[in-house]
Order: sequence, then structure tokens, then C-alpha cells
Amino acid sequence: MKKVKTLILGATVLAAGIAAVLQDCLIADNGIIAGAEYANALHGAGASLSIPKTAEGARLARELYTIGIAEEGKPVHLPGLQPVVAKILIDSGARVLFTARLTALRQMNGIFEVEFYTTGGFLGLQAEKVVDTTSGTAAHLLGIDVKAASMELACILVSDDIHSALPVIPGARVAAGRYPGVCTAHFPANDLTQAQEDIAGRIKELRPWKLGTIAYMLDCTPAVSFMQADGFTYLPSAFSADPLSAFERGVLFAKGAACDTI
Amino acid sequence: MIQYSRMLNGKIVKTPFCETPDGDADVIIAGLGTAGAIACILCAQKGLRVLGLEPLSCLGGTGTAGGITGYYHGNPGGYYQEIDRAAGGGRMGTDAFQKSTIMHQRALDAGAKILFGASVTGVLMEKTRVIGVEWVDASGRHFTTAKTIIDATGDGYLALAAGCAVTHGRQSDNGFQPYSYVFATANGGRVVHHNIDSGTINPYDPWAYSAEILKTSADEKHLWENYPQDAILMGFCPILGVREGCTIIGEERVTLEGVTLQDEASLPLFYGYSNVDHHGKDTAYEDEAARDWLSIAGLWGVGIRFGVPCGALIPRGFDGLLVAGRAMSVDHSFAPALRMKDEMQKSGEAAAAIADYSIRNNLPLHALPRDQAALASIRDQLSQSGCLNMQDVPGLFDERLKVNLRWLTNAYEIRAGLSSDEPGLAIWSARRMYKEISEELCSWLNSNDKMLQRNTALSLALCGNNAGEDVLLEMISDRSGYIPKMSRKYNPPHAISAITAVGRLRLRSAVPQLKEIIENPDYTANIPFEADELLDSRETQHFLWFSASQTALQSIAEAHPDLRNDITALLSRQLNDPCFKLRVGLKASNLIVDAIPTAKRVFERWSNSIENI
Repeated sequence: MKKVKTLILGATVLAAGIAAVLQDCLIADNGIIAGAEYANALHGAGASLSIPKTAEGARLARELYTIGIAEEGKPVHLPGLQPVVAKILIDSGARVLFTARLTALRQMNGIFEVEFYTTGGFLGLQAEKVVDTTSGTAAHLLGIDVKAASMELACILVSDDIHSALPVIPGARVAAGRYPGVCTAHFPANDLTQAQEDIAGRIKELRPWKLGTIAYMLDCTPAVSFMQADGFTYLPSAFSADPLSAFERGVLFAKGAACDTI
Repeated sequence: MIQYSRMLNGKIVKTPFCETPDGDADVIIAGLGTAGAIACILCAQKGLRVLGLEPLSCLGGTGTAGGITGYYHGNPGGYYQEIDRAAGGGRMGTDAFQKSTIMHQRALDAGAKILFGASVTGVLMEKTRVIGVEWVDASGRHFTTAKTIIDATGDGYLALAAGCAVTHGRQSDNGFQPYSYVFATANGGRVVHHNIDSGTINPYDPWAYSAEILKTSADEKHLWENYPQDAILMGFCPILGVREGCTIIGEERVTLEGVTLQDEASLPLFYGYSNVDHHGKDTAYEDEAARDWLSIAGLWGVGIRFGVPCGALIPRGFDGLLVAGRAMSVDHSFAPALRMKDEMQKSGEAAAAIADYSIRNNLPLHALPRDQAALASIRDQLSQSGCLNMQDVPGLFDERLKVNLRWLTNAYEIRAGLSSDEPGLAIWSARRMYKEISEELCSWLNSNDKMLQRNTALSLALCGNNAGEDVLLEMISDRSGYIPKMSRKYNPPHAISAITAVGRLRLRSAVPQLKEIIENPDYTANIPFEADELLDSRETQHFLWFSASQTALQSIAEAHPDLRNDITALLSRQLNDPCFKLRVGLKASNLIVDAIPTAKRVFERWSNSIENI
């Protein structure tokens, strides 16, 4: 059976930070979008990039400013993160497994026995350490109760009139986007399908704003920044308010910083 | 004894099943994508107890979440049109969320049980009968039994887990058609989906699959140097635009040769329409049937209306399992035609009708294709919605001129066609009529009409007749770059047709010329060309000549053992030369990619296979 030193769950922005330092790790994600918690679920929409604290973070910030999806003091255009995060993962040399659904996780004699369902069927492996950067997929399988502080479903709205005032949507939080004529709306949700269908129905009422896209995953803001037990670390990427902070948490974690300091 | 069968670490593993299933249904539908969503709604509307399992959060698959919201080719007709209308859309596109919401509601209204975030991971079987599935969701692992299971996963995952016979892409390297990674932008408040070929992918190797996704996510199509404000990136679709995966070997099979060379064998359940929409430029590495149609006859652009029989949805030798969608029984060469959205949705409707008939009449699925009463009843059902138009017949359509075509049926017409610069229809018609006109064909080789001579030589090659050998050799050495104009695009240069033909005929006399093409990277440097969608660059031009010659030499070596060592050494030397460059453009993209890995993979598989001959 394949054995890895460090298994990271979630091809998240935080995972990219870990991979940028650690390199020798396996990252497994249920979907196909790198950095999906920010790029698709739009966690941190409306926030600008934090000030980098690490060299790796400074490099990422420079790249995001250079290509134009971030600007000082302005919200980050989050969908643009995905290709950047993908490039970080490629450059890191980390192995990545997409469309890998975690179906079993057990710890026996200090080793984690892991099973995924992938596009090639079931795949088993062993890991010395597991880091869960998602909203708690692995934690739940290990019987660790991780709660979400909030769950929302986000969408991007666009208007062909760049001077359109931000829409007022009862029950939703609206944030200005990076570009004029773009904003995001965030609706409390706990059922992804129901929420998607509700939003699709409601947006018709918001002219001149039209639906640009709806997220395909819930934005789960975790209640705690980390949990640790015996080779397992729960370190959710979405605890950070902006993607640069998440990336740098990963960098610092990989460099050995204690979780309660990052 | 019930067995639990699943794919584990790349192999089928069967173990005795001793647990108690969690539930039972009449029909389980695995995957509620383009085909599965329609099957789910209609099975439920027919009063069957339906369990629909979908890994994503919405119905519709590639046609909704995947961003392919409009239609390309296809033969319109069926229940899905009602849904498109209800969602305020049509041929140009339907709002993805409106459509998936409506489909979801209709399925629920009809009494279907739908579970999202649920992946089907294995099957339960009694000998060769599939009786249930294993599936996982956030609450864990479950087993549910059913009278009929519909594999609408798109990639035939259940069929694979059950051990059904499948074809896995093309013979040369098991390669599939290129895929797209669709993304959306907002331009002036209007959302546009971009469907650009990204490369090739193997959906069954999770490591290669993942590496490819990562690579394409970060390539220049998706990672821009500057994010403009007039085309604002909205995001990437949560599923890939996969055009082809494994296809089952069914009780009946739709093949390129069957559709174009034979009369309709059995009454179809529905008709499809498309050209053989091959997206790659490496036609030389395709199966022989595709090379015949695309490279020798140049018929890429001709639209074909074809029937899909009942047995194409039923894996041969198995029961309890239907396959709807891309994984239906179609050969690799015709898979580019049988994948359009109309037909995928129709296949869902057909699967529902087959399942319903089988269950209500307590008949095994495998018996239905030969049961005239069953076929009549199912066809009647499908005709009610327009899924089957009883007036439809097999036919051809010229997408360039927008006129119906027909096969040429006499020597006079065929000769006129072969004398023209649009000879493709005549070339294929000659093949269909070979028994009747073989002598006349051979006599046309002596004509002073060069076009007639050359196209006749190609026609004869398709029929395995090497009487035009000298003409073909002359065509290869012709560096005029002449290209016939049969199709609206993707017309192969005449020299490429000739190279493909000499390979088909295994002509050893062609070896010196073919070797020169392989050895000389500047062979095509002075062959004129006007950049078009096929011949987008000098690099692609070189690739077309090289790949056609590689395949031809490999075929010749198979037939002439005394030439094998020499040809093998030549190809090995060239493909492993670090200074040798071989690159090819992707369709509808500015990307030009390294073609050496593909060429090497094809060569290595071939050289391993001939060691055993």
C-alpha cells in the first residue's frame, strides 16, 4: 500500500502554503478546483489582501497585484485565485489527487489508514500525518466534532451599468467586488442545493444586477482555528479572512510554527 | 450468492456480500447529468420507485454545471425540449440553474428520491445480473437494491465495476478525445462560457487525471498575465468537459462503418445527428475506420443522421444494468458523433422507456433488442414526446452548403465526384459500390484527369485494392500542398490522404519516401499552406506529415517482417532524439503543445505489440 509522510486534505489555499515549504506531501481534494474555498465559495469576499509576513506570502501578493486580481485596499477578485494556486501546487512538486472522496480514515498503531473513492475506483494508502484544511471532512471521520461558526452560499452579481448601486437583498450580505459592476452576495444556508435553487429564483428580482455565477460549495467559516491530536491537525483554510492570510498560515505551519501562534 | 463488486486500486475486486441492503427501488440512476436527469424524471413519471444519486449539488451535469448550456448539432426532439422551454431557453442556451431547478422539481413532483453529494461506488451482483449499488454520502456507506440500475455516470463507472466489456479509447494508445475545462466570464454584464480544448485526459487514472487538471488550471488559457475588466472571470466549472470515456460493448453497437457502409440493421429507438466531430489533430493515431473517413475521404464536415438501437444501452452478457449517455455502445471512431447533448438527453429518455417496459413485463433487458413487440411499444412511447421521429431516416447533410446529401449510386456520378475538388462523398460511395464498379474504378487510373486518377487511387485503397499504388506514391511526393475542399474545415492535404492510404495497403514501395519524412524535420518547410483551423502553423503541418508517416510505417512493418527492425530503429532513433521537435496546435486555441509524448506512447505500444507477432 502506498505510504505518504504527510497527507493534506483539501487543495486549499492553506494547503498550497504548506506545499510551498514542505514539498513532499500528498494533497487530496473532493473536487477539481484549487483554492475552491476562496475561488469558488468566495470566502473572504470584499476583503483586501492582508500585509504579508513571510517571503512566500510577499511573492504571492506581488503576483496577485501584478496580474490584477488584487489591488491595495480593494477587494480581491477571488475566482482569479484558482490558476495561481494551481501554479503554486505545480511548482511545489506536491502530488495532488483531485475528485478524491474520503471514504474511510482510521488511525492504527500511529499510522493513518486512508481510503478515497476516485475516478479510478477506490484507492487506499497510509499516512504518518494528516492535515485537514477543509471544513472538517477528516475530522468528522475521526470522531472529532468541528463546528462551523457560519455557513453561507455566495454568488457573483454583474451589472452592465458600472455605476449601479449595490443591491439591497433582505437576509443577505452584499460586498463590493474588485471591479465596478461586480459584487458578491452571501446568503445563510445549510443545504447547498436548496440554497442554489433559491438564489437562482431570487436574482431575477434584482435588475440591473444579473447572476454571474453561484458557488458550488458552501462557505463554511470554522468556529476554531485549529485542533490537534496524535498526528492529526485540523487547520481550516477558511478560518482566515483573506487568502493571503490562509496561505501564510500554511507556510508557517509547514515551517514548524505552533498552531496557536499562526 | 450476492457479490459486491468494485474497482479497487485499478482492479475489479469481488467479495461476497453478506450485509442487509438499506433499501430497495425499482430503478436506481447513478449520475443525474445530461442523460441521468431525464431518465430520473421520466422513470418517476412512469410510476416507478426511483432513487437518483448525484455527486454534485444539481441536476444536468455537463449541460448545466459543466457550462455547455447550448446545443451543437444533434437531432432535436424529446422531453428535454419541454424543460428547456420552461427554463426560458432553447438551442442557443438555457440558464443552467433555471434548468437544473426545474428538472429537480419535476423529479420530486413525480416522486423520485434524489440525493446530492452521493457517489455510486460499486455494484451488487448475482452472477451477471446487477441487482443493486453501493453508494456513499456524508452519512457513510449504503447499499440499495433495484430491479434496474441505469449507469448515467458518463464514464461507465458502474459498467466497469460490474466487469462489463468496454472499449477504452483508440487502439494505438487508449487515448480519448480532447477535453475542455470550461470557464465563464462576464462581458458587459453578459455571462459567456468558454469551451476551449485543453488537451487529453484519462478519466480512469486518478493520478494522471489530477496532474492534467492541475496543468490545465495553470496554463496560459486559464492563468492570464493580466485580468481585464471587460472579460471578468466568473469562475471555473466544477466538472470537466470530458468528450469521451470508455464505451460498453452492448447487445448492439453503433459503429462508423456500420452507419456509413451498411443499411440500418434494426429499428432504432431514436436518431442522432452530427458530423464525426473529431477534435484532435492526431488523426493518424486514430483507429482505421476514423482514418478512412477523416484522412482518406476528408469527410469530417459531413453531417450524418443515424439510428441508435435498443441494444446500444444494454451491456452484452449482463442483466439489470442499462447505460445512458456517453458510455453507450459506440465504437471509438464514431464516439465523436454520438455525444451531442440532444442525443445524451434522448438516451436518458430511452433508458427510462426500456427500464419501464422491462420491469412492467418482467422481461430481462438483454431479451428486449430481439423482441419486436417490446421494441414497437418502446418506440411508440418515445415517439409521443418526439424523442423518436418516425419520419426520420438515416441520411447525410452538407454543413457547408446546408443541403441534404445522398450516397452516389452509379458510376457516372461517382466518376464526376472523383474528378472534382470535393471528392469525399464519391470516395466513400465508391467504397460502398465497390463490388459493382471495381473494374471501372481501376480503368479510371489510366485517365488523363489527374484529379480523377488520384481520388480513384484513394477509393481503391479504401477497398484494399493497391492498383493505384504508383499514383499514391506520386501524391506523397507532390509538395504542392493541395487540399480538397469537401468539408467546411479540417480538410486533410491530399498528400496526407495518400500517406494514410499506403499505410492502409501496407505498401513497402512507400517506405523510402516515408522514411525521408520521418528523418527530415524540414521536409514540410517548403510545402505551401494557408493557416486554417487544422493547419494552424508550420509545426502542425510537420506533425501531420510525421504522424501519418509514422502510422503508415508501423502498418507496413507489421505486414513485412523483414522491414521491422529498420523501421523500428528509425522511429525509435527519431523520437528519442533530444533535438527532435514535434508539436501540434489544439483546436480553437492558440496553444501549441509538445506531441512527442503521444508519438512515443503510440510507437512504444506498437513496438511492444509486434514483438509478439
